[in-house]
Amino acid sequence: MRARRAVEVAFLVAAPLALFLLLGELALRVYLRTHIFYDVEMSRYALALKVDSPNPLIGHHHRPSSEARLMGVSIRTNADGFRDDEYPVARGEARRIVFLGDSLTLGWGVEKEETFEHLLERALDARTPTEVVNLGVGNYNTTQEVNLLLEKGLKYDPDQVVLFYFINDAEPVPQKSRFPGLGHSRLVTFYWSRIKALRARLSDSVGFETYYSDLYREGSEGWARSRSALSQLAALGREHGFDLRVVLLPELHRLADYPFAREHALVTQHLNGIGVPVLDLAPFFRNESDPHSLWVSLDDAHPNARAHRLIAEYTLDFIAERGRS
Amino acid sequence: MIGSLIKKYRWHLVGIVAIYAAISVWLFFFTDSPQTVPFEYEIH
Repeated sequence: MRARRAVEVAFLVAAPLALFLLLGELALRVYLRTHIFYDVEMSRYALALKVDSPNPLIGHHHRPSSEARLMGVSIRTNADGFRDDEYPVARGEARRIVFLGDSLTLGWGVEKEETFEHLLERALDARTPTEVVNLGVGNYNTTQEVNLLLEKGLKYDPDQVVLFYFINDAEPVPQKSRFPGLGHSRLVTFYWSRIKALRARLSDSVGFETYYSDLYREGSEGWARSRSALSQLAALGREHGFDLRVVLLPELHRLADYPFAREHALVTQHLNGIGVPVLDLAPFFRNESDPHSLWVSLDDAHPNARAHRLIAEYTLDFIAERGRS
Repeated sequence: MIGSLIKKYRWHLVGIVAIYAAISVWLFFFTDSPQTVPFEYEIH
């Protein structure tokens, strides 16, 4: 009798859960045929295009020669795993620039032709023949960006390297998920994402402003590693004879009263100290009264096509200033 | 065995699944606001 009761209790716990997971997954997949969730798309990005790198300082890179439709746009990678055209390693006469960065440089959420990388390449090429090789990979920090340059970028023998720095570049190298299979479930991804959003809504301590500011606290390991990677990049520039520049991309939540001015000043101060020209774009966006008009979508604060156009416009002269030193 | 349990507790099943669904719908609308958390990614 007691055993039968235990079976009934187990059934009443497990059966509704299993049924809900099955029906919820089906319902969500039907809903997502016509709607886009940022976190689900990021999870799909990881599964479709990211692979482990044998180099722990890189962590992950893009699967070469692959394509996925993410956030409503196509992302196609070349034989090196870059979201770019195929460039021969041997140089021609054109000036060659390598862009380093994360998902913003990759052009997450915008078509390739709308990315600031593409717009800058076209504008620079109109002045003097120029090729821009885009090494932007989602979720990269400065350490990963510099190590990707070492592993795959230097062979292109660039005249110039431009690193597009974002406030989260001082994060530690991201770790692989402990439960990689769960990313296949849209329902699990939805719950993971929404519970995170709920916590942020109920507590300021887990919001993005506190999180990003904390990356630059006195003694922060991530910021120390980021500084070290920037110094390493400057040394590489001297060794290989390329002109190095850094562009600080703005975080697009609050532009009129920018909350990360102190953090941008810290990065600028470090770059000035090691002799690297830097352009902070945050002040250029100060007069944007509606930050959401620059977002890919309401649940995704990556820059949209308009923001990419502005970034390209504000950055053009800074990049065009100099060629090979 | 399973069949008889489903038959005996079918309304319990429906009720609990409905509660889970209601929580999901509430979560969907309550958190359906501009992004408030840092960029975060599942690596794999």
